[in-house]
Amino acid sequence: MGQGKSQFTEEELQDYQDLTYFTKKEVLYAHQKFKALAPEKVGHNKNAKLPMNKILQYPELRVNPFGDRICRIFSSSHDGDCTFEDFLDMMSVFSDTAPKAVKAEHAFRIFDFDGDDMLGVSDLRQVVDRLTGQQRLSEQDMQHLIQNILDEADLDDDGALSFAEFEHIISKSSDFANAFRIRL
Amino acid sequence: MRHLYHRGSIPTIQRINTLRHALARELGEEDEAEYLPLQDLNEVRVRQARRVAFEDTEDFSSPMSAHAGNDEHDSVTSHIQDASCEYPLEQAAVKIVNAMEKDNSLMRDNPLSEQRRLDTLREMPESLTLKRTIRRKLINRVNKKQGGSPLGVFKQLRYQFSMSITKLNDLIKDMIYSCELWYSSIKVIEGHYGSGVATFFRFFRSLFIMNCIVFFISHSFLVIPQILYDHLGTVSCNLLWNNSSVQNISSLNSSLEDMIDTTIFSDEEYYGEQHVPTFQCIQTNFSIGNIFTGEGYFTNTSLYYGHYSNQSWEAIPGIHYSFPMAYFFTFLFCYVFIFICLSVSMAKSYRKSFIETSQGIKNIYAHKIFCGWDFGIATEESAILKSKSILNELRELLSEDEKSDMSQNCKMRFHIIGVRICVHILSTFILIFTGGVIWFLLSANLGYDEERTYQSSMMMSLIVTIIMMISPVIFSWIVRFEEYRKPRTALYFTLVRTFQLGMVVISVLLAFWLKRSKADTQECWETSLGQEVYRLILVDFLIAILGTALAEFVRKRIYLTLWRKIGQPEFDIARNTLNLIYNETLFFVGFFFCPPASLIIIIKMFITFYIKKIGALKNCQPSEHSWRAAQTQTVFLVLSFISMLSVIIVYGYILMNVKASDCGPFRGYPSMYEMILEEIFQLKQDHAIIKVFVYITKPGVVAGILIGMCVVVYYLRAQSQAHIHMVDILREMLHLEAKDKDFLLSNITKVSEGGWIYGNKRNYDVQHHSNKLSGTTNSEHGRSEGSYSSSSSTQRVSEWLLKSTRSVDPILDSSTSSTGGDTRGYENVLVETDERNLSNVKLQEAK
Repeated sequence: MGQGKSQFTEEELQDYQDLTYFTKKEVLYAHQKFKALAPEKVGHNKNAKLPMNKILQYPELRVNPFGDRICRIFSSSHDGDCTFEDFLDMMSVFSDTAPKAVKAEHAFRIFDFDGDDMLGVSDLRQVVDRLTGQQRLSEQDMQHLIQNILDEADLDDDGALSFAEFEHIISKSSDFANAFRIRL
Repeated sequence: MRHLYHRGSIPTIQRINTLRHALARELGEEDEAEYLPLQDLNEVRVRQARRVAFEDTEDFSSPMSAHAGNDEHDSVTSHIQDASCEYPLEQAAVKIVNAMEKDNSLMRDNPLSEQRRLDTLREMPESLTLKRTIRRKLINRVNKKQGGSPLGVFKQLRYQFSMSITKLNDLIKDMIYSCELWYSSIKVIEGHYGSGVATFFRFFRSLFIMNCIVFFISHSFLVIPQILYDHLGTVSCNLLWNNSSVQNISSLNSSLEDMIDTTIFSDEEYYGEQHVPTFQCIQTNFSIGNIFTGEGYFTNTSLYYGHYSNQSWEAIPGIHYSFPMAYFFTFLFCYVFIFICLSVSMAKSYRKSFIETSQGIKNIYAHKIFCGWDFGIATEESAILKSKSILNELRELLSEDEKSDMSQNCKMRFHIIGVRICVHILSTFILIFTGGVIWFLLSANLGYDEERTYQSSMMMSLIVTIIMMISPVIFSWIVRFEEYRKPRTALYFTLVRTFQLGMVVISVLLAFWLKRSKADTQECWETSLGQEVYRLILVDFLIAILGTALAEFVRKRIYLTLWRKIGQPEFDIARNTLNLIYNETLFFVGFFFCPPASLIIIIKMFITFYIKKIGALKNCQPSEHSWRAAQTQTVFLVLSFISMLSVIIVYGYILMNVKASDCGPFRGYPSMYEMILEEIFQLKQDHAIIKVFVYITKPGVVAGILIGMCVVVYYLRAQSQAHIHMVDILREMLHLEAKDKDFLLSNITKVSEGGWIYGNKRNYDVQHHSNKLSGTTNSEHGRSEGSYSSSSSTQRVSEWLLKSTRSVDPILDSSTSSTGGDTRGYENVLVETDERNLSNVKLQEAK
């Protein structure tokens, strides 16, 4: 960790600690992890921008069906490439201490594939498809499933979930905070 | 009735609606803000600013991202990039800062306001780079705004105080982080198995840490002083026992003061000659077998209650260390500590997973989808398994849904009920049988040390451990025949049965020795009970933990080399956790009679952790069924709390009513309670405390307190019922509003269509047709429009709406100035009421 320390000024660390859900030590640890993805590049420039395929080598993201979505959401240039600050932001949102509301906000954006600020039928379909992997649900099951989801969650009956509705559903789930978490 | 296929088949129209809602939401937010509490208000404002800023920067970011695509791995160009994105970044930051500036509570120059600023920033879903820019700007503005307005002394102190609290908090967090035990191990396990198994290991760790603290307290105040006293106090074994008997005779009128005054040496002078052998004090030679039985050599060591002195020791001249007091207060502290730890964590977890989410049980599908993936998974293998298990569960749920329509016939139902009754009888029989076996074995094993062989001593613990190992397997096997519809019900039944078994074992053990204590024998029943618990803890380690690990290893080898069908062993969280709770309960029971049990238990847990970890990583595979971690963990916490509570009740009984035998620190008193009372009398001569104590324990007062509590509970219950009712009403209202809104929105579409391309005959038809239908229900609206969804005009409308989400006013003004104004008015009102209702529902449910 001593090596990592030299790369950051005290002021930067304080900034990171104040603006994320991490302590300074965790920030340094996160940087170690980030560095491990591309040692030379990060060695030159601590806040280097790594392309998405590099970020996706992080174990949890590699196997995650929404890995590319996560990268895009957190990337400050919206193309999936992440700087260290983006990466730190990502880890902070996925950390244990981040509140449910923050997690819900990001989960909503991850699931919102078409970016229209609503989870429509096509979004739900994609979410289910990604979750089930190579095998797919039959078309009939899929329609049935999506209808069930909308029945449960779509309070205002407009055929799509708004953020308010999504958050409402999430706040009723005890498992969400557990599931939506990546430990450093 | 809401059915998707009415709407699902017409994506275009739906998309229009969706876009409109998004647009309407944006417009509506400004007004909505007034109805929200302060914190939400900030959030809404910031959200809005964020969105505006985001839209503006979008145009800049698109060429930049193309640029990023070309450039590969060069840090120099990335610098240039940073510079190039500086401009939109600044712009976005300025916008957000402006929005935040509107809120006065955020812009004051004091630590509280700074904390709020940071919290707002932290929760903002923006990139960290942007946040840092915003922060810098904010600091500048705050400084500019209030250039050194003086603070009052009191305020300054308060701020300093809150600042130091925050700093302390950070420091503690940092400390906890740097000494988090087994962090990487648990992380690896979580990557392999997901959060369910990791939860077990975390539970394990928290119990381990709790035991460590208990170990530290008990050893530093009791065990080590006693050992020092044995070696330095120059007291021979004989003398100790002599004292005990002498005290027994003379204790009736001797108060503690006398005991404190008579130091050990004076004791020797006075009572040295009198020798009344009450308990045999033979320092038996040590043999290997003693380690397993905990008898022989160990019987009269500081391992057990019986050995502890009832003297006070003057190690440093002038300071008396009273062992009975030390014994009592150490254990009081330890048990209160454990009790508080368990009850706090149970209450927290219960609140989180049952109360706050009480209405969420209905949303099975939404939860499966949105909370289905475990983001902690890190290996390919388990990811594939997870996808599979999600798929299977979804299929199961869907097929169950269809099945539930078919009603079961009478015969089937009778059959199932019959089977369930049989299984209940069977499990009760197992419980009674186990209890009987233990009682029998305990009675058979009575008598003095020399008569006992190792076999007879070990018999009880061996058999009990084997029963404890086999019966969970039986329980989880027989529960299959009961055919519970939900797997969770079956799991809970198995859990409760296994837990009952553990409770039976422990309660029979306690009951047996308590019964013995009533009988007038010379033996030291406390020590015997301690020995029994010692053996159980040890044998459980040897058989249940080492044995299971070995069995898993063998099974895995067989699976790999010989016989594929046997299947890989699964890591059974429920069984492991119950074993852990059983152990912990044993420890609670035995700890008082065998203080070094805390050392034994932490050594055992330490080794067990590594055995389990290796077993989990090398031999087992993740379970195919997903594990609802949060709720089941609460159940485990409740179970361990119950066991703790019952142990405390038993101790209360022992303390008050059971006669202390002629050994240990409380020898010579009718019960421990009386000895403690005397201590208190000695310590504080004023009787006020005693009076208050007596007054509080009067039946009238107790009954009054109980009734008061009942009234409070009733009131809270009634309140929550009212809330639930209110939520239902609000939901109903929301539905009605949604229908109204849909109707009006579709009318708006038609009117604006007509205004836009007025001359189109076909479009006129659409309008005409829809007008006819306008009185019908919502879903039919959808269908009637759906039939025209392919028409070019509708497509154009969708394009128009897509554009209008970006910037509304110009297009609305250019197309239909009159309807445009109306549209905004309508949507404003609609969305306002809609979102307000939703937030009302949320607020109500939160209560």
